[in-house]
Amino acid sequence: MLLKDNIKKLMDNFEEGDALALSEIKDECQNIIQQFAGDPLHEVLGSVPAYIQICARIPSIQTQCVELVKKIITGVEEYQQANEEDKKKALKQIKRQVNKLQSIVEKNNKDLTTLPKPQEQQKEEAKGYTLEDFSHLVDDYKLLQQFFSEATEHLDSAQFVLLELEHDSTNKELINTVFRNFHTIKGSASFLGVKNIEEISHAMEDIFATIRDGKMILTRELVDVIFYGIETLRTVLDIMQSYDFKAEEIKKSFTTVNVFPYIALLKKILQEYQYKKIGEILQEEGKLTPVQLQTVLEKQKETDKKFGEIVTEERLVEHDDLLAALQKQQKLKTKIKKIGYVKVSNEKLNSLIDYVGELVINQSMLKQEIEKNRGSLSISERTLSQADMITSAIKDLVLSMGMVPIEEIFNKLRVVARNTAQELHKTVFIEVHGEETELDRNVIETIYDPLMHIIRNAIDHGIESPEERVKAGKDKVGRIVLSAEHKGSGIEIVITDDGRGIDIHKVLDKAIAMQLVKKEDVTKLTEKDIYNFMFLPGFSTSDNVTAVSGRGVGLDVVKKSLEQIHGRVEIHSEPGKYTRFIIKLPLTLAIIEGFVTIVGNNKYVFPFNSIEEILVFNKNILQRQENARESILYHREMHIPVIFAHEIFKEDYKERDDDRLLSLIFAFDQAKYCVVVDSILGKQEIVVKSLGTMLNEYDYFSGGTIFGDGSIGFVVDLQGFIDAVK
Amino acid sequence: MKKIVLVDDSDVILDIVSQALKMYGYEDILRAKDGQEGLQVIKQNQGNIALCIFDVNMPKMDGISLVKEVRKFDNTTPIIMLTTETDKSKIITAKEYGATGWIVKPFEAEKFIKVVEMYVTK
Repeated sequence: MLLKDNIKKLMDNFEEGDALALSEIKDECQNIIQQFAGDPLHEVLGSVPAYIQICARIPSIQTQCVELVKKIITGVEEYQQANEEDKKKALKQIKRQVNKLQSIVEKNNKDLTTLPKPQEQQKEEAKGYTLEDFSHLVDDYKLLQQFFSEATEHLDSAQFVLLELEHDSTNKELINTVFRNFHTIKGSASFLGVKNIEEISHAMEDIFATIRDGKMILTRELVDVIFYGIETLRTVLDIMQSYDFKAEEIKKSFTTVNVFPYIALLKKILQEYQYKKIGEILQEEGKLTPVQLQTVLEKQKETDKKFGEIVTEERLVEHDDLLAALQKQQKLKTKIKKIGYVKVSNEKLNSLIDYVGELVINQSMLKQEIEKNRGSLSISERTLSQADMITSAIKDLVLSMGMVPIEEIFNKLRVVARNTAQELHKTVFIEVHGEETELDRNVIETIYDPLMHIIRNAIDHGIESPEERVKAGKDKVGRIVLSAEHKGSGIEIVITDDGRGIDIHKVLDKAIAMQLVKKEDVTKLTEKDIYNFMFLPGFSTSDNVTAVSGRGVGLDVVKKSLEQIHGRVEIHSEPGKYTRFIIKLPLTLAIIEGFVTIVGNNKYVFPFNSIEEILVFNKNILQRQENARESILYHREMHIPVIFAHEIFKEDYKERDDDRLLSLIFAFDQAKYCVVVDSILGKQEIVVKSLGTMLNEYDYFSGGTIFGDGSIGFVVDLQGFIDAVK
Repeated sequence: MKKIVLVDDSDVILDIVSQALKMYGYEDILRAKDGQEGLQVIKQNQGNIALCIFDVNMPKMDGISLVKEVRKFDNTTPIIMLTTETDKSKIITAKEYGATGWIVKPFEAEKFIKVVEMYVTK
């Protein structure tokens, strides 16, 4: 059974192209097949490894194939547990999946020569209207003019009613009025072939239909967005007027106005903020027939009772089902996951984490002892690897208990964004991805402030005023995308705004003015170096101080607080297009992926995810500049400072006979460092323990750890380490 | 038997990997120390290569550009990229250019050989 857990884990984490994982999946399959020697299953499964092997050459079908193998393995489990009669059924099921796998592999194996095409970046936003889209535009001065005045009237009416709706957002009559306004505009536009107006008003009509049906709430933000839509429609109408309603010229001009981003925005809003009525949910789930639903709704009109009350009184729906549907509705309403929680005190959870840490250490001790006595002990490898898996499963579970979804913070940030935007008279749409990503409680507490700084900065400095945006050919509504996702052994949070980007020259001028860099050295700086200036205290390129930002406290604080939790931050930007902040965080602070080295007489652990590579080089290739203490290594067309770990840790340095140096290349802070160590023991999961007050003064250690053999090691904090060098 | 091409600018990796390959009976190994050299080797042995293994970071021409170049004349030979945890993002580009798969360094020799076995039949 546990063997299957292993393959399942591999398949769950599979990424397209992961050759190592694929070969292990193939191996595990072979193992499973061997278990069924003599069983009819053996023959059915026989060719599965071969198919996996073929699909290793065709990345595009790998995900699909792994999914099928997953189904096959589940089928095998069912087969094992089934009684004699059901076994046949299960076998058939497995056979079907294997056949599917076979046909996919064989079909694709033939056209192996076709390459995966580079993904074309065909965003809807990039698309504009073509002349063809307006081929049905009616060339009739009178009709178009009539349409113009009629549409303008409707827009005036809609705008006026919307203002009232802001204070009375549930007034059905008012909502209906706006709905009809857009509906009429849409109808006439479609009749006359004014496709852009038709499509915008159609999208707006959809929104109001949804609001009218009570499936969406008209929020202030939404009113803002609609107002911009009305402005857009007016712009398009103005174009018609300015060309004196001559169809040919209007057509030409229309192709230069891109309204797709706005339509896409409306569609997105419709998709994300809509929620369903309880009756619809029940009907969708088949708990209520359409006829029953209708009768209940009619009854509801007669009495004052709630939908749920009637349904339960009439015994149409089980109480539990109703409850489930209500919960589902709640979920859609707030989009917040509600899972049953059990309160556990922090203290207890922490001690549980401690114990699991001990267990991890104990497990690695066991592993080491067995490896030492290989042969003399009769513990099979399988038993050991099972213990290994169980320990790591418990570790993952316990750690996950201390995890909370990042959603809470993202929601808070939305509010911050809205308030900031209003303060600055800008309209910003926030798009959120991956809000269900979970992070360590302690990490979450620390990242809120930095993220808030970045968002406020983005709205103040990044997003332009609506007028500027229109001039630059952008959508009036600014857009900030906030996302979180698992990457490697950590989490990556990305904040992108589609504003004016960072003016590198402005940053440089400021850096020169602040004497951070000499004018003649400017050419030596990389883009990253220049962005890095922005993280220095007191650095701000904004000329005036606003209430929101501009005092230069901000990015340096952002960096400091992220470093506290071993996080990193990077900036990417393209002037006029976007600014992107990428924040990389560790999943948890208690257990890290460490790289164990020996320096002098002690073991030192470096954080694994900052290591770029391990390099062995001859001492003689080092370059030393005059009057400089530091040596420089020229590697991969880059000059990398060399740090002898012995000097920092005050360990003895022993020359090697062969003049070769063993080093780790670190990528840290958008720069690289080469750290020379004596020897390398390898990658290992490290339980970080506090060093206590005695060693507190050593900033370059974030803690200590105990290894399997009982020896201790120091966990290096890279930031402190680099600071110590400086 | 067809050849295995190994392109990496680190002597250590080249040594370790080719030793492992030889231990498991893969004798015919072509080595190159940067992308340009690698491209030459591959062109010279066209049609006679079972598997290519490229490092991502290399001087002169990096592994990703090398994939792009090789795919201009060879669509079928599997190409496996060697990468590090920090460089994993670059793999996406490599895949778009037609790389077959990737392995994250550091890896265990036995596991590496199992990957090779998937692509090369002895």
